[in-house]
Amino acid sequence: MSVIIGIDLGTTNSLVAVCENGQPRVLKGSFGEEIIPSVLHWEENSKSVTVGTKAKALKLRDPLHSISSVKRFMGLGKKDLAPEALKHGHTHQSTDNNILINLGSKSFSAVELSAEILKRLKNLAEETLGHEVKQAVVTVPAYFNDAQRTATKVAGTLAGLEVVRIINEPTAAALAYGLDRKKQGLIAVYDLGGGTFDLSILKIQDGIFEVIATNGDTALGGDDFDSALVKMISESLYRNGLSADVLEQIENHALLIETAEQIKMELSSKEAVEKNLVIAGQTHKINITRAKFDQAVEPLVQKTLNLAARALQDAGMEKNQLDEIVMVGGSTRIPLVRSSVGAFFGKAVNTSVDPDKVVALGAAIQGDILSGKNTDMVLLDVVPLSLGIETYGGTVGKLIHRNSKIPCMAQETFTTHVDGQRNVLIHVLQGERELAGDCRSLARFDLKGLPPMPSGLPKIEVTFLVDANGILTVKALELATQTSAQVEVKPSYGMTDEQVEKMLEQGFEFAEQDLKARQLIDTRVEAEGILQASAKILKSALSSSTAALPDSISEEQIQKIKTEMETVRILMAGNDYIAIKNALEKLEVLAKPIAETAMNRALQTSLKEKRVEDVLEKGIQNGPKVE
Amino acid sequence: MNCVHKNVPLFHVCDQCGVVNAPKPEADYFSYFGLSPSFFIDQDHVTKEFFKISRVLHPDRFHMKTDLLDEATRVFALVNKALATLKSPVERARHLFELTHFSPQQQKSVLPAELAATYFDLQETLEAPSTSPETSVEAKAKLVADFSKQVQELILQSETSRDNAFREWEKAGRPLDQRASPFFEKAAAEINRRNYLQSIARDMARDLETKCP
Repeated sequence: MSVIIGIDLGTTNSLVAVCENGQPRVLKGSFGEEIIPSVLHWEENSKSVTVGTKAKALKLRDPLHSISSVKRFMGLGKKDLAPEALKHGHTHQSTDNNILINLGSKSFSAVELSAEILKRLKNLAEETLGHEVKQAVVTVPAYFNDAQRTATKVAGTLAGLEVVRIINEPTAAALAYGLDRKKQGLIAVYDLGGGTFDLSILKIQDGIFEVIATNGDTALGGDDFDSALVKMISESLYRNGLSADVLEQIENHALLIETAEQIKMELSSKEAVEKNLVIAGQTHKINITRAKFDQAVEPLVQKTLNLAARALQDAGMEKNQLDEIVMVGGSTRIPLVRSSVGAFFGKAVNTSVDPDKVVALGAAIQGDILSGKNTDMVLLDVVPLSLGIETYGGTVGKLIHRNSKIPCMAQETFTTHVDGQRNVLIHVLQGERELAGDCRSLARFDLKGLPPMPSGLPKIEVTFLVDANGILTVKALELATQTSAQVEVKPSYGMTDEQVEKMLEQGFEFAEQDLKARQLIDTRVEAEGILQASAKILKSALSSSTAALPDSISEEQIQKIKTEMETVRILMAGNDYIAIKNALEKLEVLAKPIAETAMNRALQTSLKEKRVEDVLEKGIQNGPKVE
Repeated sequence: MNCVHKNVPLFHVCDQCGVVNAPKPEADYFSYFGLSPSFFIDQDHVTKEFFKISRVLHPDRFHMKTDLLDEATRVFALVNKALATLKSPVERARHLFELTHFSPQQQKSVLPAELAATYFDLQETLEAPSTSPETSVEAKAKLVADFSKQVQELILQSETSRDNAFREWEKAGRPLDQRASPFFEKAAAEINRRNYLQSIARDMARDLETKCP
């Protein structure tokens, strides 16, 4: 049975986990890396993008070609872009439903960049597990809308992964928290990550995880805490005489963000932090106390509590009915967050789960459920935001209300307003607001070819189906006549299908180029080794008495080997790896008899001097194959 | 397609015909959970049955049997709809109305007499500028809170009357034809009244928010 990996595609960090014998574990890369920073760096003219720790380091040196927190742009269009979102450094070319971020001379969409992170995780998993990985469960914030979910799925496709399920982060955390069957009752998962906040209320009973209500903000997280600190640091630097112009420079701003992040982390265990910042050649001392930090971020924490109150209201529950408040996400390490949440719910918060890893672990458990290996657990999730269509007059007719259990289906019949109307425009919306203009537009489609009828007579039945991923499909059908028109739409996620296809094609194109480049490098390395070994064998053969050479090997043959070695050297300077391979094969055949002799002699030497490892390693193992 | 074999439990996959044994399209939502139509139902029983169904029918169980995935998704969506209907008193009542082909007479909701005086006074106070102590933001908030409390009491009264109407219907042997109409007419009127009361309480709270930010 194939494995389904679980991926936490985070704003700040990303991880991959897998379930083995029912137990989830986070996968470690060859250098022991588990938590991969969701930071990307693109070098001008390079075919590939660097992801992770290396990119994070490069971000300080080359911020214009680096980017973090791309998750915040997933599924967004120009209209959704907050004015300050891309203020520092990166310019963008955006359309109504897509944002293209410039990294130097090349522009990338959030989907493409997320796909690079997913590729990195896929490779990590494949290296660690030793086999190909094709399917994944990917987590998203519970409050992600349809466009953001679909964008995440597309990113998976671009990375060569079939995203078999999109699962909500707090729900995933609950799965990992409640894996142990003894955990029962009502819990709230307070998930404050790098860029997003979610609060979900769940009932856990005999392996059934039932989400009752969820609320959140997809633009509220650790990044905002960092920004508050950057503001504080900047203010103290102004007082030191630094101008705003200097601080706004992209390199300096990157340094400020990095410093803010460090200070924030240190303040979780210290009352005050002091740092020296070198800006414009001068050292500036920064001193931030926890009290000051708390004061600055208090409004953000309050915002999360207001959202928590709404989730409780939707669940029809009182705070004291909850058995546990499970804290998830790196930002829940902040003491003020813990104490405020505890005070709000009137009980000590539960910090027993690893706030960085629990979401990935939960995704792996969901993968285990989907692969049919785990039959004890069922996850019953909800749709976070209401879904509807624009009705006459620009209001929203809601078909599916928020916190409805998924999968869910709803139908409603609409009609025409003008005699002989031949088409009806159906505008699909998501959100809680009453007016269409205030909700997120997911798709517009035209139901064409209605038979001409007096107004009010056609019956257009619109069906919404939200699948287990929380992704919507809309169908429309004209009922009054037997001739039915039917349209199926996939909501827009910032890219058209053609754009995705084109990107996939480019991906394959690059994949081939990448493969060729890698083959060439590998072949050159192999050739280098063979040349060295051949030279060594030749040298030793020639230096010893001719009696050591088998009779069959003549001077002529040795000369042939030398010529072939020269050919390999010349070819290595070129790019044709196939030609190099062919030449190497020829050399192998020619050198084989001498290599055998050398091998025999080496064995004899080893018996005398016990230096077989040395000979094998340096001389023969890398040399032509000896059978 | 429905399973034609006997002894296949509802919502299970039939081994012989390989389809989900889904409820018939005309089946009422109560039957999904092994209940007969009633306004008073054991919610714990519904939850328990729903969990049982979830274990066999949730689309996650069909990820490896992709030929049944769409069918499972569709039927499970129906189960979710049934659950939501039975959990909400208003939706449950409406479902009972549907089952008996009963459509309540369109009644225009009117402000209950006992609220009228307070309601108009309150609206006037909310419109007034917050200059004197009687029209301060705090005073307005208190008036709205008092009004909401009064409304909540009326809502509770209305709910009791609605429940009584359904109780009468149960006593009459739970008829599912036009004999239900007199009882349902009364219940429908109370549901209407309750919705109306709820909306005026909500509007008043919203007015307070917008007029006294």
